Amino acid sequence: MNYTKLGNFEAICLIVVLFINHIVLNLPQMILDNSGTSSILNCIYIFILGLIFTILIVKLLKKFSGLDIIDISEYVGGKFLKVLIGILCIVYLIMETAFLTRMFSKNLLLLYFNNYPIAFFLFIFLFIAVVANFIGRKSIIKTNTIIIPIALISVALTFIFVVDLFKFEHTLPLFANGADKIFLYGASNIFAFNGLFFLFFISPLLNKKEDTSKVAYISVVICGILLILAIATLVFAFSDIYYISRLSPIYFIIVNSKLSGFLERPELIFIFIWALALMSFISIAIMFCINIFRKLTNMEEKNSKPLAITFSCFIFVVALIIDNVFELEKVANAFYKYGTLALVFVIFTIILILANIKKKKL
Amino acid sequence: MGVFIHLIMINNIQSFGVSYLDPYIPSKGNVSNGIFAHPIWKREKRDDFLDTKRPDKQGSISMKWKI
Repeated sequence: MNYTKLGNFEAICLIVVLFINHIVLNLPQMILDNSGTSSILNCIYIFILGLIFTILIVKLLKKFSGLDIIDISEYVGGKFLKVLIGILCIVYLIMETAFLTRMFSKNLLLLYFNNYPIAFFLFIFLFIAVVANFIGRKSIIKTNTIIIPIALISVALTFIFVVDLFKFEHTLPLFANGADKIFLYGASNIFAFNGLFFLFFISPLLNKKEDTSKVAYISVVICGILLILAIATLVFAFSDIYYISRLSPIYFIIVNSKLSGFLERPELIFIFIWALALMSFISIAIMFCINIFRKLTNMEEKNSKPLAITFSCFIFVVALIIDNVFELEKVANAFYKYGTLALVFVIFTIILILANIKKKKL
Repeated sequence: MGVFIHLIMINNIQSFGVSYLDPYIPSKGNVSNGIFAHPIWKREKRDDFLDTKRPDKQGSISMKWKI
């Protein structure tokens, strides 16, 4: 992928952007549904698992410094595997983007814009991403670097703003549905670290290739701490039997905080920041789709910008396939969980292991 | 929406090869934060985004106890 070189901070923001968008939408509710009051324990556990997985991936990537997963899959399985993995990555990005955009638009629609068609919001978000891709990739990455720290702070601040709602009794029983649900079945909650998808692509983009490990560890630590903070906020504030909003638990908790004492509509600031984070992610996702496609087809860079329109059309269509809101949530959550586990944690790892074995034999 | 497009466009504008918002982007290589000026004894290195041949602006400082 022949474009701008990334600094460490820019790469970290690239990995964290996907995580941020999920944490303000469906991730906390998914973990709470699985683990109940033991969610904090489960989050600490999957944080440790995430770190172990990152250490493994960094070690496997060390021999392929400067190569991304597409190049490595070509090394392992030739052009066939390269094209297959490329298509899988593009499909994953399109579906992730479509579902995230649809869920955020659905939230905006239900909360503020009752009489507008959802296609209107989808069109706005995708139009912005297309324009951003036409303007330039460097700008997208730099803008992401500005927006992500603000989004991170906004999620962390929810913990501080609702401290008065906290009750330690809400974390009891500590092992909720049983230790097996926390540590055995709960290990599948590692899908929360799906930002690691971009880790497999950033190695050739970094200024210093040897900084891949630093970037990986720092981004996983940031994601882990934020996940624990967000889940802790919800677990401490609400008891297990309380039905937390399906829209966005984090948004719901801000609405119920004491902040509305001196700010008229405090949640709007957060919605604004999260909308910027979503737009940043959509732009990045389309950017990566274009570059994977260019890599697969050896297209020149100057001819690739109109592809942004193509991919945004795909995203628009996929986002509108499912009409029913509850079905959408079911499908989106299932894809988020099983798609991430299958692609990022299984397929990519297997390819890296095979590549390392092949390199050792040679 | 407009804010995002504006951010993208401002980041795209360059002045002598440096993006407009580069001084404000939090980065390890950035010595200054673009808003507040450091004291003179702290201005030893040039910012990373300038991509200069010599990153050191001045020699080692006299007031080392202030670091």
